Amino acid sequence: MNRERDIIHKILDKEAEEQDKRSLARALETDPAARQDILGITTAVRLLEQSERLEAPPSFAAGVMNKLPQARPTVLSLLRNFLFSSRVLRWNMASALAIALVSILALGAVSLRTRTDATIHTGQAEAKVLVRLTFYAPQARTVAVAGDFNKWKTTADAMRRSNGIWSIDLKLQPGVYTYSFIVDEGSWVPDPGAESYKDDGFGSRNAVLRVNI
Amino acid sequence: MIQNTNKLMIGYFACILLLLAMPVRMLGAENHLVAISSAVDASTLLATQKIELKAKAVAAIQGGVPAEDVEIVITRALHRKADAATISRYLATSGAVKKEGLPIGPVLDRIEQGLSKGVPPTQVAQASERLADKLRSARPLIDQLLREGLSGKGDREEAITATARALEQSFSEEALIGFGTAVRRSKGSLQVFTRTLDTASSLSANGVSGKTALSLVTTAVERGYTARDLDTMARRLDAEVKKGARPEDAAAAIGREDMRDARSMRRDDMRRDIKSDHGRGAGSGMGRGR
Repeated sequence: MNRERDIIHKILDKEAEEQDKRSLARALETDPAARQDILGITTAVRLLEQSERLEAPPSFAAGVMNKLPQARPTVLSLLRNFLFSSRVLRWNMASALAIALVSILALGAVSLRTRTDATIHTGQAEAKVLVRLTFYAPQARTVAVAGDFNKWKTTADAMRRSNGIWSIDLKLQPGVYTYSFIVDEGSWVPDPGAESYKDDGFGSRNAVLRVNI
Repeated sequence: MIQNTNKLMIGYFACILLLLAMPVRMLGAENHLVAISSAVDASTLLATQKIELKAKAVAAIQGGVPAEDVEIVITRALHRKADAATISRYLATSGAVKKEGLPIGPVLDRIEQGLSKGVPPTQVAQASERLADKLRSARPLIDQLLREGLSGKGDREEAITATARALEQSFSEEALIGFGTAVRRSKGSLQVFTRTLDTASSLSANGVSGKTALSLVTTAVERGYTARDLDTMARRLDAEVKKGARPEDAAAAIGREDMRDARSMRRDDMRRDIKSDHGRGAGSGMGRGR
């Protein structure tokens, strides 16, 4: 009986094939209950086709959907939706201006931070002490000083000669420094007039300079 | 739709906050990175070595090694024709020291100084690694002294550095602990410990044995020498050495002079005590004219 019902549905849906129709015809000839059944269905279809069709209100689908039980979303699905669901950005002038204002404030804050750092450095620079280093080397062609205060740059602090005495004025913050003179761009000589000396870690010595306020 | 707009706004503000909270470490490093990149590109290293070196430089800066120092180390090393492996050793050593929370300044100073002085690059690497090892040994030693009651007044990093340099000059850990204990007993602080240890290192750099140098500064601490006294001591020794005296003999002479000065001071103190005892009341100690 179920098979005949399936065929009837197929016929109503216009999906039945010739073979199905022949099979149904054979069943109807032999089975009076089936004949009764198909008569009822065809009558119902005819009545439905003849009845007036009413349009569903626009909120009908949404109402039905709302009445369906909601499935609890997982954290993963929420995250996926947040990251990958496509969005349409609606904007207005007020929110655009607000964003612009926040951007300007943020850039201003970064710039202010940089300027504050610079101010701190200036403050430290103000606390520097002027120190004069001298070195007697009348035969030398050039003399420079390199130390931890200038990261051992050999050309950063060239000294000036006057009557065979080389000298330089350095502005240094209070602290302990190590240094050496570089004579004729090649020989490293620890200051012979230094207060004390330190091993340089390479088998030689550096002069020690203590700067106090 | 409005809800989505709100979410976007929140996201935007969150990005701005993140930007503000971003470590300033990488900000301002661009110029150094450009200089590093130019120096590496101009070098004779292989293409793969160049890429690796640049990556290591960025990693070192991100790890907290100052960008300026990374630039100096790389450019100076390339100028000295150091190979990629040796330059990587410099970066690895300084990066490791920074990561371990040890003072990075002395290690960078050693590398920069060695390269500037024209020390062979591999020797510079060995010297910086040796110093890094001594810094590792120095830290627990300082911590032990602090635990045992040495006053924490002073810079811990400077104390670690001074100790590491002393260890490099063959001062034993036991001797340094003993010296630290002497400083503590004399109510000295970490600052005094660092200052006097620096003097001991200076004496040692002048050729005085570690034992004699420590003995001299221990005496100085026990007598409450000031920083100026310590400088004078180092200057006197240097002057004697310049005159041709053997460092050890000069140190011994300074020690003898100090002992004589101390005896004379004690005698003076005693005379003062004796004089002041006159007129003291009964039971006031060692008076004699009663």
